[in-house]
Amino acid sequence: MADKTTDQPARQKGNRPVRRRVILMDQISTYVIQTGGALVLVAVLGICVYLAYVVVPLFSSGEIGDRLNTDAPMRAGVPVIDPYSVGVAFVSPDGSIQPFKLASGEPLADPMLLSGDQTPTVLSVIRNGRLVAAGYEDGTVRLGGISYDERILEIQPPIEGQTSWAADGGLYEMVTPTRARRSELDIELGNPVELSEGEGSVVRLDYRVDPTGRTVLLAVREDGTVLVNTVRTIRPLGGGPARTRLSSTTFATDPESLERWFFVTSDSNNVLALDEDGTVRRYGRTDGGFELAETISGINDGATVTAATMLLGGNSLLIGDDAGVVYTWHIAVETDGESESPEPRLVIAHEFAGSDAPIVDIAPSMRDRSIVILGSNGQVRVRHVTSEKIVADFETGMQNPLHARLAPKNDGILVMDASGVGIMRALEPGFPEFSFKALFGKVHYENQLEPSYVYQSSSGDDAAEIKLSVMPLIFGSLKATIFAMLFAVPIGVLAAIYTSEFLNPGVRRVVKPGVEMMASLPSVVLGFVAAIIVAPYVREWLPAVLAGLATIPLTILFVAHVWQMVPAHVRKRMQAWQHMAALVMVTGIAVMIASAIGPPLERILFSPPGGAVEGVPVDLRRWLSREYGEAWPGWFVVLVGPVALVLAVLQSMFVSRRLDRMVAGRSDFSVAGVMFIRFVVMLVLTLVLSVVLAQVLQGVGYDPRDSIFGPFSPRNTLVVAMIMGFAVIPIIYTISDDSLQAVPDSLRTASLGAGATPWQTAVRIVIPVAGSGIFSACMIGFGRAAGETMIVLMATGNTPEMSWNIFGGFRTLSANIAVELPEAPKGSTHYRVLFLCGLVLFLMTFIVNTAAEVVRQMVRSRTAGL
Amino acid sequence: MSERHDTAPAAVSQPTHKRRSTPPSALGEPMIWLTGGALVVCLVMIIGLVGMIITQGLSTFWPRAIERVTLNDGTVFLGVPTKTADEPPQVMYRTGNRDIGTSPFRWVNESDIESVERPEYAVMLERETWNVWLGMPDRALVYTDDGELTVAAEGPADVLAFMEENHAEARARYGQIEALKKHDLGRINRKIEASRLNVRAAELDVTREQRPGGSFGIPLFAVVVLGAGGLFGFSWWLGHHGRDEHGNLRLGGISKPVRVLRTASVFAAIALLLAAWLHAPWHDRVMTEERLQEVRAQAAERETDLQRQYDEILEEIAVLEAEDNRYRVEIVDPTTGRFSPARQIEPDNPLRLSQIVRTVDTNNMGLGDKISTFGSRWWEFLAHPPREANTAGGVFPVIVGTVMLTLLLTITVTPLGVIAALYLREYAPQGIVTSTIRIAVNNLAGVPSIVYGVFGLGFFCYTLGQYVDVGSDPSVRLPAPGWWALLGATILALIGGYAAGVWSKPIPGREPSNMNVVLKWVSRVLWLSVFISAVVLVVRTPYFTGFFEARAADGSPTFGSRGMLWAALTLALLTLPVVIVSTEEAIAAVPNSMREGSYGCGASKWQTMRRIVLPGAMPGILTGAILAMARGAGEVAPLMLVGAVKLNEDLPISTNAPFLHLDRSFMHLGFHIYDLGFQSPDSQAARPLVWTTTLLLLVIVVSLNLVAIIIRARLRARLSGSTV
Repeated sequence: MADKTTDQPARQKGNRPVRRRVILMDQISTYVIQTGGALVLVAVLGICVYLAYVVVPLFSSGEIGDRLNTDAPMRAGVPVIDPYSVGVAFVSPDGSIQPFKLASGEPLADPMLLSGDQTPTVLSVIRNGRLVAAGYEDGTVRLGGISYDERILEIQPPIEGQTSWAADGGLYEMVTPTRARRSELDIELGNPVELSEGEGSVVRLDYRVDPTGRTVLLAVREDGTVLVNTVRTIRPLGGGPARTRLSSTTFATDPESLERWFFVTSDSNNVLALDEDGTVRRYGRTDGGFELAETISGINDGATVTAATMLLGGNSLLIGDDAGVVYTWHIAVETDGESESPEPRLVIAHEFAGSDAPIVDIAPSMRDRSIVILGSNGQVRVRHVTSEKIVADFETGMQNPLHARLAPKNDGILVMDASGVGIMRALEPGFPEFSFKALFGKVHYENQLEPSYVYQSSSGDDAAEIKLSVMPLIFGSLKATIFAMLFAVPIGVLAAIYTSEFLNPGVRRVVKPGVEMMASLPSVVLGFVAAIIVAPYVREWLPAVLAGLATIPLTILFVAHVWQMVPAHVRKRMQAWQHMAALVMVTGIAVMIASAIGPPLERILFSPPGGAVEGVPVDLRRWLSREYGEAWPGWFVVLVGPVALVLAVLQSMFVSRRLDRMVAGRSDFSVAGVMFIRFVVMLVLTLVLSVVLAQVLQGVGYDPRDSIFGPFSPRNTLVVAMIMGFAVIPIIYTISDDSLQAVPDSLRTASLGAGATPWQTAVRIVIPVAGSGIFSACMIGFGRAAGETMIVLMATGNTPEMSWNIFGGFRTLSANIAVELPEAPKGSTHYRVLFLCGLVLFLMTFIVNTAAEVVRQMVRSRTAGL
Repeated sequence: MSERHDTAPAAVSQPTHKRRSTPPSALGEPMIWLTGGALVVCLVMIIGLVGMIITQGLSTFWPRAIERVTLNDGTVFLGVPTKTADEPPQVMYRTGNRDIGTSPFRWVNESDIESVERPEYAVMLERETWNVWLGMPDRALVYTDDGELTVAAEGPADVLAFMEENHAEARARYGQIEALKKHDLGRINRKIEASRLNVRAAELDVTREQRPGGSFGIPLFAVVVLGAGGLFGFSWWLGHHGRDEHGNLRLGGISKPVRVLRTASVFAAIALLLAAWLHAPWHDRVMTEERLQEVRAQAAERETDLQRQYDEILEEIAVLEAEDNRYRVEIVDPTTGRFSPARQIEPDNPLRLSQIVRTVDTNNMGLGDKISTFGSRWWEFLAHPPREANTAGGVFPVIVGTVMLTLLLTITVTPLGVIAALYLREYAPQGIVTSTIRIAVNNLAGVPSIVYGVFGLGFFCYTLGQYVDVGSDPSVRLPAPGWWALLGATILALIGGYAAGVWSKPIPGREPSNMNVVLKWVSRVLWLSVFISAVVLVVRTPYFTGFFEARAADGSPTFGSRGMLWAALTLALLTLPVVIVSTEEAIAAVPNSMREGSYGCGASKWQTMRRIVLPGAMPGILTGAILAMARGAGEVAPLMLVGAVKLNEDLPISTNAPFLHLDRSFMHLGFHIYDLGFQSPDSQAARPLVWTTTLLLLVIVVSLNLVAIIIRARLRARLSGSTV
């Protein structure tokens, strides 16, 4: 302890002056140690701060940047934005298109017709013009796309110092001092294709290409015929215009009440027809064509649909109404195993406020599930559909807004009004798919029936979105930890009690470092052993392993009861090491019993009803995967332990005293005999009660295979629990033993002197005093198990599932980091989510450890007084 | 904490009284057995595990008999039985010969086996490539000088004798070739690379804009020179003429203003040096296009020269290889009748003698031969690099990586831990804050290691490493005037903080006045702001563009990716709590009477620390360091993130300048186990090596821990003897 009065020991009034060097060294060392020490502590605590620093941006919303253009009016029409947000082209309903320079609003070329000289009756321009379909009066359609042709050229600006200029229909932008990027509008529209059926002009069109390249075209003709075409585009090898071939399926609707919007999902199996009153009709593909599958109301009563579109990926329908609400509908398939033919149906996934005023336009992003919503009052809001996070929200002040679009790279928003005046603003979207709710709550992902927790870090394509709910990982960590603790706590604490209270010091001095040695085994070694030795062994000997969990304690208890019948003078001669040796032998016998009775028990309990079936060998693993069998044997296995514990407690509360009085004064042998009988009775009672309870549970209709049991996987929780238990036993053991040892001897001697037996002393005096220390030992063990990486990484399948199945796998936070972080690019969303995993793990263990430490400090101050 | 059970009750029952017998529930005999059972389960598990690793690890390299198995269907093959299974009875044979397309391991049902024999001359060749080959020696061939292939020996016994005679020489020649390729060619390659990087750096310098700030630093330089000189002169004057005459308090013979001024002049001098360094003329030598051309020409000239050397060495190698090519052996596989080929694409060319690492003819071996094979395999394992995707050969680079990492981590963590512990115990005011910090430090020992790995990757590799490589992030660089203004402000705050600290000390023997308290807080705030602005100064400096800009621009970051240094620092952070806790305990165990005695004799605080406290705490510090080493050596999870790799034969320490390559990624025993066991393409073949590697790791970690436990036990015994 530092002594305060000696802060400046060199300052003395003595006659001999202190040497300068001594003073200097003293000052230097003080400064070095103070700053060094403080810095080390800051650095250590800085870990948490740094992790949070990486994670926090995930939760921030996007930012709206400066306005990028002038007020010069451009042109009304559907905007198609250049990938670098420097140019924009407008497609008018009459089929003409004109490109503009965005910054100044100057036109780059005269308006040109998309195709020939015919004016289309209907145009579909989606995905920023990448997909364009035009329908004509004569019942033909043309398919194509508008894109920007870009190339980097070695060129100098026409005027010194200029960074962007327009010339010969293209737009130039300097990218390095000597190079410029030229971008020019590139329109490609295929030749007219005759629709095979129906009469009259084409009135509705929807055109979609899914990520696998499947192209679907939906066309509705004046007479109400709906054609769903799968499209094949042939590009001749020698060049020339691409030719389009259609193969179509048709169905008829009422031409008098034709819906306003028609959409086709990108798998071409569903057609959604939406009317202004919000009625959605879904036509599903059947063997013979399309049939009306369901009719629902897509919006709240009394509202009117004002805008509708499909989300990126073409599987979700977005509806905006005049109350400013946005609805998302998608088709989900009932996956409940019961029904024979799963029926897809429309499910509402999200419903949120899009705007304060009636919605004028909704446009999906080209990159993710964000949408931009335009209100009639000029309010623009960018929201992510899945996470429902508001990415950006601002007012344009426009009187008559018409279109809003997100730039192709999600880095800008263009809003146009009816007069052709546009506002382009920069956008920094941040991490739209993340919010607190998306990471920790249930999220309704596309094509799912209901919100759920899913972790799926890699997404293949547009249609599959990245799903990063960390709950399955937290669940996995907790599952591993809890099962490991179920294994480790009894063994660790009981072993510590034995070592501290019943073992003589000589043996103890050897045994304790031996167990502590367990702690020094690298976890990678344990993980390797778990995966290579234990997992195959458990797979092979599953019934025996399960039986062993029961036979080892039972055999020991049995032998102890028998041993009690031996006369006391013989018993007292037994040395500590002899006791240990006897226990080793008993344990060995118990293991042998387990391996002997395991397979017969499996046959008795887990065989198919009515005895073994020909060709179906009895196998616990088959029972687990529900191939046969009833529920109660599973319940029996689960219940034996708890029932035994409850009975033991009840016994000690109500029976034990009476029995004591009954046998008082009898000979040792008869006392031991009575106790033996009690043991046997208890055992039988436990078994019977467990069977009865198990039957009751089965009768009620519960099956353990829904929760605690399930299909067997070779690298399962049981293996992890055993090996991770092995890893934390020494921690629990050492700290428990230390706290038991810290109980002053005076208490023990007083208790023994008052006539208590060592067992009574241990249970009534020592353990209560050391109880909180033992508790904190368990907490520290919990913390260690929660963060253990290598064992779970090597001994489980690392599947992020959420079930309590003890024979199934899981994925923990730590293993997830170890698997995925080496591949995650720096600064990406995935990288940040993995840092979040680290932060969660840090906080989890830190809180548990702090609780344990506080408890331990309390114990220390309490026992200090004794 | 001495032993309390000096007269422990026996493990069993208490003597039952004559008159009133002990009630059965009080005896608790079955419960005692149950607790004992728990301990036994622990011990059985640990002994079983360690025993299994030891037996598996030791038996791996023992030569086993080669069996010639004839199956019921007439197939004959040679194999080494390695594993058995019970249901159905099966034996797994290692059959090798992977390069002719057979599977290197083969499960055979015992019922399918017709006969098993052990042919005397069956050999297992351990080869440089394609792992083992099992076969019967048939012929030994030598190419004569005119290119004719002549038979040198025929028949198994003669071939074996021939092999024994010529093997050592062939291996030596092969070693020479490899050394030339790796060492000499490697050296030239490095030089070519260096010259290329030189050009690249020059190119970067050309495109870079002029040095920021221009001549701004020069006037500041002058101001600083004048200021520092003036301060120092003034303080010198005060020191010699101002003693006591101003009524100032003396501190160790020097008054407070003098101390402040002197220190201020030191800070100013540091600033001066900084300015001088940043604006030194040699920095302003501008790289022009002309100079770049010059550099390019020089590099081209140099490369031609190096290329010539390269060709000379290639010629040398060609001569050796021609000699090496002469000695061939034919070892015939009984199943296919084919001999081991020189290469997979040359199936008709017999194997070169030099490709054989070791010939094991177990069936022909006496005990002595077996022991020597066992020994030589262990030697290869410990002293040679791995072959065949780590599934054969040794783990020498792995051991070097582990040892280097452990040493580096110990060197880093011990002083830091000791300083932090000294601060916590001896310097920091004991109070609620300190005990909170203590609890926090204790808890950090329980934070999962993978979290440290995440931090290490994000902070050390990607942030700090990138800073070392390419300097401050261009987007946050301050303009030069702003940076210099901040530097000036920082120095002022530094001087202010120091001055406030000096004046906040109360007059000895008196209660601190309000002024003292206020000054103390002022000083703390100023120090904090100094710390923050120092970080800003470093992070946003416009003057630093990194040490390895050229390499980073080339796409191969030096320190900006995973490597030894960052791994060591990460593990140091991970083990810091261990050292702090253990050192603190040891410092606390040094009795106060010894400190008081030291102060009483007139020793200063630092003298007391150095001569009394630290020596007394030395065993505790050692224990902490050793525990840290053990933990660091056995830790894998964070290393997977910050630097351990599957294969890197470039050792972190070498004879090439700069000798210590802290930027390199490395191999590590723990990661090696994970990799061999779970990521290996041929995990069956890798299995034996996993066991030996595990054994090696276990031996290292357990012996380190044992040393720590012994030291701790001695320390406790000594302290319990000296206290009270």
